[in-house]
Amino acid sequence: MPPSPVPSKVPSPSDDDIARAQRGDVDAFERLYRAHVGRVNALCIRLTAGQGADELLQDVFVRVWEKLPSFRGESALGTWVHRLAVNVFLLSRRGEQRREARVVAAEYLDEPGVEAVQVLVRDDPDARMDLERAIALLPPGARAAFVLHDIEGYKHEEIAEMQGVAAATVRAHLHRARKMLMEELDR
Amino acid sequence: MTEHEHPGDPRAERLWRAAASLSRDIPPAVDPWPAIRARIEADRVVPLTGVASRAVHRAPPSWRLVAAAAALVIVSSAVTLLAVRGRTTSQVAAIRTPPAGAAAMIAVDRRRQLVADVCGSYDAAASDLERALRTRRDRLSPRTVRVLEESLRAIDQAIGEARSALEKDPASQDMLDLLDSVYRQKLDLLRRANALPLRSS
Repeated sequence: MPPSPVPSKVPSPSDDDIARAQRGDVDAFERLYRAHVGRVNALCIRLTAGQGADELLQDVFVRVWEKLPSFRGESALGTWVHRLAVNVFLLSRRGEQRREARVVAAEYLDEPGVEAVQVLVRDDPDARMDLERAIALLPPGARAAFVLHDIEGYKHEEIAEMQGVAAATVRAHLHRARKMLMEELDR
Repeated sequence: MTEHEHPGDPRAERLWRAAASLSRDIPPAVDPWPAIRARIEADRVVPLTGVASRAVHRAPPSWRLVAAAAALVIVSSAVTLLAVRGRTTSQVAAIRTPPAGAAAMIAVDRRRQLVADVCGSYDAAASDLERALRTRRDRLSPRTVRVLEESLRAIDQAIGEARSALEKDPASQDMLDLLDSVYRQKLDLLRRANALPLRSS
């Protein structure tokens, strides 16, 4: 893993940083952000296939800040943040379906998934590149099902609830994703 | 996926092993904290009761700079950005109440620092990507190089104008959002350019 470009001068979060951040302490919130940003970033990159991951990451932590006062500690903060990130992604995807947002129109500059693959494989390209590239190229529904279930460990029913679909739909997406990925890895 | 879901299926087990090896923690290439902090600070707003005040305090309409850039490369314009974030309605209907006296000066200084942090973070990342791109430039097609250079010029012009507007009105959240958006598009363009296949020499 390469050195993190994120500044490390910020100390690790203490137990009362959650309470401080809930009361509006931005410095405390930054410590919470630093503790969780890597995990959320990995999720954002995979769910978006690198397309708009930076913006999603920002949106997630702004949302975390907004919702933090409602955090009651019934689960670990990391679990809560992760779940919120998935919800922000799902909401943004609904918006995405209503718009076309391309930075560069030139077709030869448009290579979906390349950014995600580059970011994800830089530490161990041989071991991960094929799968990361294949995940990035999956259809959105199949990609979300695979990332959330097979990588992040959510249950079918949890994913279905978050997406507002039947668990059978999630299973179908997952089946399709695995089939496509296995075919891709066989090449 | 668990190993038990596909017992004896070597392809499924290979996929399972590969998925299990993926990193769950990836630091962002560009630290988004300054931009996040700027958005958080901006959300501390006081609802506006009169529309007239908005016209007084908002940044002068420099949208034409975006339009100029958009004509070349940026399809998702600033207006689109604000609209898709779902913030247009609420943010347009609200305005930061300018604090008075010394507090106002502190607030302005803090905003200027936020702008500087955002720019510094993005400039450092862009500089790295531009350095990498320079090593590849000669092996890209002339047409690609031309498109890239025109696009980067337009984006840099938009960045420069947005920064100038923010120097005059550091409180303009719309302009800060716009600057953030244009910077991200610059990084996206540079990353894509660095991922382009090279011509064989």
